[in-house]
Amino acid sequence: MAGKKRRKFALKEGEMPLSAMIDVVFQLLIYFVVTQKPIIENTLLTVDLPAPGGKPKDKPITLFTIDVNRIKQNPKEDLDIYYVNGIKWNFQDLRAQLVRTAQIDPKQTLIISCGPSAKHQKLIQLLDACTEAGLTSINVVNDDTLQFIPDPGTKSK
Amino acid sequence: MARHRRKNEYGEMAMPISAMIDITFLLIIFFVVTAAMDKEVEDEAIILSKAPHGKPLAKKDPRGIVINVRKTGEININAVEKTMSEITASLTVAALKWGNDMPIIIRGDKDVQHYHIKKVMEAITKTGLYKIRFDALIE
Repeated sequence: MAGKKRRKFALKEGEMPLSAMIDVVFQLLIYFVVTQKPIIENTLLTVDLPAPGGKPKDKPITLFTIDVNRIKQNPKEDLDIYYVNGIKWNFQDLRAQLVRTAQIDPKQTLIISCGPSAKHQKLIQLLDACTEAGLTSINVVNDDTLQFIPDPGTKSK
Repeated sequence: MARHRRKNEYGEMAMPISAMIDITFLLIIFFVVTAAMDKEVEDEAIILSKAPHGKPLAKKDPRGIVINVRKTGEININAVEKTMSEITASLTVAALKWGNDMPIIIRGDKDVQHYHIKKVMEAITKTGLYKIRFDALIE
Protein backbone atom coordinates (compact mmCIF):
# COMPACT_ATOMS: atom_id res chain seq x y z
CA MET A 1 0.00 0.00 0.00
CA ALA A 2 2.94 2.27 0.62
CA GLY A 3 3.60 2.53 -3.03
CA LYS A 4 0.08 3.69 -3.80
CA LYS A 5 0.10 7.17 -5.18
CA ARG A 6 -2.63 9.70 -4.75
CA ARG A 7 -3.84 11.21 -7.86
CA LYS A 8 -3.55 14.97 -7.91
CA PHE A 9 -6.41 16.94 -9.28
CA ALA A 10 -5.64 20.01 -11.21
CA LEU A 11 -7.99 22.89 -10.54
CA LYS A 12 -9.77 24.22 -13.48
CA GLU A 13 -9.46 27.85 -14.32
CA GLY A 14 -11.65 29.97 -12.00
CA GLU A 15 -12.08 27.17 -9.42
CA MET A 16 -11.34 27.79 -5.77
CA PRO A 17 -9.56 25.27 -3.51
CA LEU A 18 -12.43 24.43 -1.16
CA SER A 19 -10.94 21.66 0.94
CA ALA A 20 -8.91 23.96 3.24
CA MET A 21 -11.90 26.22 3.78
CA ILE A 22 -14.14 23.27 4.64
CA ASP A 23 -11.56 22.10 7.19
CA VAL A 24 -11.55 25.51 8.85
CA VAL A 25 -15.33 25.74 8.75
CA PHE A 26 -15.64 22.36 10.46
CA GLN A 27 -13.12 23.34 13.10
CA LEU A 28 -15.12 26.49 13.80
CA LEU A 29 -18.30 24.47 13.99
CA ILE A 30 -16.78 22.01 16.45
CA TYR A 31 -15.44 24.90 18.57
CA PHE A 32 -18.84 26.56 18.81
CA VAL A 33 -20.66 23.29 19.52
CA VAL A 34 -18.22 22.45 22.32
CA THR A 35 -18.21 25.91 23.92
CA GLN A 36 -21.95 26.48 23.63
CA LYS A 37 -23.67 26.66 27.01
CA PRO A 38 -27.33 26.03 27.62
CA ILE A 39 -29.33 29.22 27.88
CA ILE A 40 -30.08 29.80 31.55
CA GLU A 41 -32.37 32.63 32.39
CA ASN A 42 -31.44 34.70 35.38
CA THR A 43 -33.45 37.12 37.41
CA LEU A 44 -32.41 39.86 39.78
CA LEU A 45 -34.44 40.32 42.94
CA THR A 46 -34.21 43.94 43.97
CA VAL A 47 -34.05 45.10 47.56
CA ASP A 48 -33.20 48.51 48.92
CA LEU A 49 -30.86 49.30 51.72
CA PRO A 50 -31.42 52.39 53.85
CA ALA A 51 -29.04 55.16 52.80
CA PRO A 52 -26.65 55.92 55.67
CA GLY A 53 -27.59 59.09 57.51
CA GLY A 54 -30.52 59.69 55.22
CA LYS A 55 -34.02 60.28 56.48
CA PRO A 56 -36.86 58.41 54.89
CA LYS A 57 -39.12 60.66 52.84
CA ASP A 58 -42.27 58.95 53.98
CA LYS A 59 -42.45 56.90 57.07
CA PRO A 60 -43.34 53.41 55.87
CA ILE A 61 -46.36 51.76 57.38
CA THR A 62 -45.09 48.33 58.20
CA LEU A 63 -47.36 45.47 59.03
CA PHE A 64 -44.85 42.74 58.46
CA THR A 65 -41.49 41.97 59.82
CA ILE A 66 -40.56 38.56 58.59
CA ASP A 67 -37.78 36.80 60.43
CA VAL A 68 -35.68 34.36 58.49
CA ASN A 69 -34.02 31.85 60.80
CA ARG A 70 -35.15 33.26 64.11
CA ILE A 71 -34.20 30.33 66.29
CA LYS A 72 -30.85 30.93 67.93
CA GLN A 73 -29.82 27.41 68.75
CA ASN A 74 -30.86 25.62 65.61
CA PRO A 75 -28.90 26.59 62.52
CA LYS A 76 -30.40 23.71 60.55
CA GLU A 77 -33.83 25.21 60.69
CA ASP A 78 -36.50 24.08 58.27
CA LEU A 79 -36.40 26.03 55.01
CA ASP A 80 -40.17 26.42 55.07
CA ILE A 81 -40.54 28.04 58.48
CA TYR A 82 -40.63 31.83 58.87
CA TYR A 83 -41.71 34.11 61.69
CA VAL A 84 -44.04 37.01 61.03
CA ASN A 85 -44.15 39.49 63.89
CA GLY A 86 -43.01 36.68 66.16
CA ILE A 87 -45.53 34.09 65.00
CA LYS A 88 -44.42 30.90 63.27
CA TRP A 89 -45.61 30.58 59.67
CA ASN A 90 -45.37 27.85 57.11
CA PHE A 91 -44.01 29.09 53.77
CA GLN A 92 -47.12 28.16 51.78
CA ASP A 93 -49.40 30.02 54.20
CA LEU A 94 -47.05 33.00 54.23
CA ARG A 95 -47.04 33.05 50.44
CA ALA A 96 -50.83 33.20 50.37
CA GLN A 97 -50.79 35.92 53.01
CA LEU A 98 -48.33 37.98 50.95
CA VAL A 99 -50.68 37.75 47.95
CA ARG A 100 -53.59 38.95 50.10
CA THR A 101 -51.47 41.80 51.45
CA ALA A 102 -50.44 42.89 47.97
CA GLN A 103 -54.09 42.90 46.87
CA ILE A 104 -54.86 45.39 49.64
CA ASP A 105 -51.78 47.56 49.12
CA PRO A 106 -48.99 46.60 46.72
CA LYS A 107 -46.84 49.45 48.07
CA GLN A 108 -46.85 47.90 51.50
CA THR A 109 -43.36 48.02 52.98
CA LEU A 110 -42.04 44.68 54.07
CA ILE A 111 -39.10 44.26 56.38
CA ILE A 112 -37.21 41.01 56.16
CA SER A 113 -34.96 40.40 59.11
CA CYS A 114 -32.38 37.76 58.32
CA GLY A 115 -30.37 35.88 60.91
CA PRO A 116 -26.65 35.23 60.25
CA SER A 117 -26.96 31.43 60.17
CA ALA A 118 -29.82 31.38 57.66
CA LYS A 119 -29.18 29.90 54.25
CA HIS A 120 -29.28 32.36 51.37
CA GLN A 121 -31.75 30.08 49.60
CA LYS A 122 -34.32 30.78 52.31
CA LEU A 123 -34.06 34.53 51.80
CA ILE A 124 -34.32 34.17 48.01
CA GLN A 125 -37.36 31.92 48.41
CA LEU A 126 -39.06 34.65 50.43
CA LEU A 127 -38.05 37.42 48.02
CA ASP A 128 -39.42 35.31 45.17
CA ALA A 129 -42.73 34.95 47.00
CA CYS A 130 -42.81 38.76 47.41
CA THR A 131 -42.18 39.18 43.68
CA GLU A 132 -44.93 36.68 42.91
CA ALA A 133 -47.34 38.60 45.15
CA GLY A 134 -46.37 41.91 43.52
CA LEU A 135 -44.82 43.53 46.57
CA THR A 136 -42.04 45.87 45.56
CA SER A 137 -41.06 47.78 48.68
CA ILE A 138 -38.83 45.30 50.46
CA ASN A 139 -36.11 46.03 52.96
CA VAL A 140 -33.66 43.41 54.10
CA VAL A 141 -32.11 44.01 57.49
CA ASN A 142 -29.58 41.92 59.32
CA ASP A 143 -30.53 40.55 62.70
CA ASP A 144 -27.41 41.12 64.80
CA THR A 145 -29.01 39.83 67.98
CA LEU A 146 -28.61 36.26 66.80
CA GLN A 147 -25.40 34.32 67.19
CA PHE A 148 -23.66 33.10 64.04
CA ILE A 149 -23.17 29.35 64.01
CA PRO A 150 -20.95 28.56 61.01
CA ASP A 151 -21.53 25.44 58.94
CA PRO A 152 -18.63 22.97 58.95
CA GLY A 153 -16.00 23.83 56.35
CA THR A 154 -17.05 27.44 55.97
CA LYS A 155 -15.37 30.67 57.02
CA SER A 156 -16.27 31.71 60.53
CA LYS A 157 -15.10 35.32 60.13
CA MET B 1 -32.09 -0.70 -6.03
CA ALA B 2 -28.57 -0.01 -6.98
CA ARG B 3 -27.75 3.66 -7.02
CA HIS B 4 -24.90 4.92 -8.99
CA ARG B 5 -22.91 7.80 -7.70
CA ARG B 6 -22.05 10.47 -10.08
CA LYS B 7 -18.56 10.31 -11.39
CA ASN B 8 -16.69 13.47 -11.91
CA GLU B 9 -14.82 14.29 -14.97
CA TYR B 10 -11.71 12.65 -13.54
CA GLY B 11 -13.53 9.38 -13.13
CA GLU B 12 -13.48 9.56 -9.30
CA MET B 13 -16.46 9.06 -6.98
CA ALA B 14 -17.80 12.50 -5.99
CA MET B 15 -20.05 13.53 -3.09
CA PRO B 16 -22.39 16.47 -3.44
CA ILE B 17 -20.96 18.68 -0.70
CA SER B 18 -22.54 22.01 -1.55
CA ALA B 19 -25.68 21.32 0.53
CA MET B 20 -23.56 20.15 3.45
CA ILE B 21 -21.46 23.32 3.31
CA ASP B 22 -24.63 25.42 3.28
CA ILE B 23 -25.91 23.71 6.43
CA THR B 24 -22.51 24.00 8.10
CA PHE B 25 -22.39 27.73 7.40
CA LEU B 26 -25.91 28.15 8.75
CA LEU B 27 -24.89 26.33 11.94
CA ILE B 28 -21.80 28.52 12.33
CA ILE B 29 -23.84 31.67 11.85
CA PHE B 30 -26.29 30.43 14.50
CA PHE B 31 -23.51 29.72 17.00
CA VAL B 32 -21.72 33.01 16.32
CA VAL B 33 -24.93 34.97 16.84
CA THR B 34 -25.96 33.15 20.01
CA ALA B 35 -22.49 33.02 21.59
CA ALA B 36 -22.35 35.44 24.51
CA MET B 37 -18.97 37.02 23.93
CA ASP B 38 -19.55 39.94 26.28
CA LYS B 39 -20.52 37.73 29.19
CA GLU B 40 -18.72 38.55 32.41
CA VAL B 41 -16.52 36.07 34.17
CA GLU B 42 -18.92 34.01 36.22
CA ASP B 43 -17.93 32.01 39.23
CA GLU B 44 -18.83 28.48 38.21
CA ALA B 45 -18.53 27.24 41.80
CA ILE B 46 -21.67 29.11 42.78
CA ILE B 47 -25.01 27.31 42.60
CA LEU B 48 -27.70 29.95 42.51
CA SER B 49 -31.04 29.69 44.27
CA LYS B 50 -34.17 29.38 42.19
CA ALA B 51 -36.70 32.17 41.92
CA PRO B 52 -39.28 30.96 39.40
CA HIS B 53 -41.44 34.07 39.71
CA GLY B 54 -38.65 36.57 39.07
CA LYS B 55 -38.77 38.71 35.99
CA PRO B 56 -36.33 37.67 33.26
CA LEU B 57 -33.53 40.11 32.64
CA ALA B 58 -34.45 42.32 29.72
CA LYS B 59 -31.48 44.66 29.86
CA LYS B 60 -28.55 44.67 32.21
CA ASP B 61 -27.41 47.90 33.80
CA PRO B 62 -23.82 48.27 32.53
CA ARG B 63 -22.82 50.04 35.73
CA GLY B 64 -23.59 47.02 37.92
CA ILE B 65 -20.84 45.32 39.90
CA VAL B 66 -21.22 41.59 40.50
CA ILE B 67 -20.01 40.27 43.84
CA ASN B 68 -19.78 36.49 44.12
CA VAL B 69 -20.19 34.84 47.50
CA ARG B 70 -19.27 31.17 47.57
CA LYS B 71 -20.72 28.50 49.81
CA THR B 72 -17.59 28.58 51.95
CA GLY B 73 -17.86 32.33 52.48
CA GLU B 74 -15.12 33.35 50.01
CA ILE B 75 -15.97 36.58 48.27
CA ASN B 76 -14.73 37.49 44.80
CA ILE B 77 -15.27 39.98 42.01
CA ASN B 78 -14.61 38.70 38.47
CA ALA B 79 -13.10 35.52 39.94
CA VAL B 80 -10.49 37.51 41.90
CA GLU B 81 -10.77 36.88 45.61
CA LYS B 82 -11.08 40.09 47.63
CA THR B 83 -10.97 41.09 51.24
CA MET B 84 -13.75 43.23 52.67
CA SER B 85 -11.53 46.33 52.67
CA GLU B 86 -10.70 45.79 48.98
CA ILE B 87 -14.39 45.39 48.18
CA THR B 88 -15.22 48.57 50.08
CA ALA B 89 -12.49 50.42 48.17
CA SER B 90 -13.76 49.15 44.81
CA LEU B 91 -17.33 50.09 45.66
CA THR B 92 -16.29 53.57 46.83
CA VAL B 93 -14.53 54.23 43.53
CA ALA B 94 -17.51 52.90 41.58
CA ALA B 95 -19.98 54.97 43.59
CA LEU B 96 -17.95 58.14 42.90
CA LYS B 97 -17.83 57.32 39.22
CA TRP B 98 -21.37 56.10 38.59
CA GLY B 99 -23.44 57.57 41.40
CA ASN B 100 -25.07 56.07 44.46
CA ASP B 101 -27.96 54.57 42.55
CA MET B 102 -25.81 52.06 40.70
CA PRO B 103 -26.95 48.50 41.37
CA ILE B 104 -24.79 45.95 43.12
CA ILE B 105 -25.51 42.39 42.16
CA ILE B 106 -24.86 39.75 44.79
CA ARG B 107 -24.43 36.23 43.39
CA GLY B 108 -24.71 34.15 46.52
CA ASP B 109 -24.55 30.37 46.58
CA LYS B 110 -27.84 28.86 47.67
CA ASP B 111 -26.18 27.26 50.68
CA VAL B 112 -24.07 30.21 51.84
CA GLN B 113 -25.03 31.48 55.25
CA HIS B 114 -26.46 34.96 55.47
CA TYR B 115 -23.54 36.10 57.66
CA HIS B 116 -21.31 36.29 54.56
CA ILE B 117 -23.96 38.10 52.53
CA LYS B 118 -24.42 40.47 55.46
CA LYS B 119 -20.71 41.43 55.34
CA VAL B 120 -21.12 42.41 51.68
CA MET B 121 -24.33 44.31 52.45
CA GLU B 122 -22.57 46.23 55.21
CA ALA B 123 -19.72 47.14 52.85
CA ILE B 124 -22.28 48.39 50.33
CA THR B 125 -24.07 50.47 52.96
CA LYS B 126 -20.78 52.00 54.09
CA THR B 127 -20.11 53.34 50.61
CA GLY B 128 -23.52 54.98 50.38
CA LEU B 129 -24.87 52.61 47.75
CA TYR B 130 -28.34 51.30 48.42
CA LYS B 131 -29.52 49.27 45.44
CA ILE B 132 -28.91 45.59 45.91
CA ARG B 133 -29.98 42.86 43.56
CA PHE B 134 -29.77 39.20 44.37
CA ASP B 135 -29.04 36.98 41.40
CA ALA B 136 -31.21 33.89 41.09
CA LEU B 137 -32.29 31.41 38.45
CA ILE B 138 -35.65 31.22 36.80
CA GLU B 139 -36.19 27.48 36.45
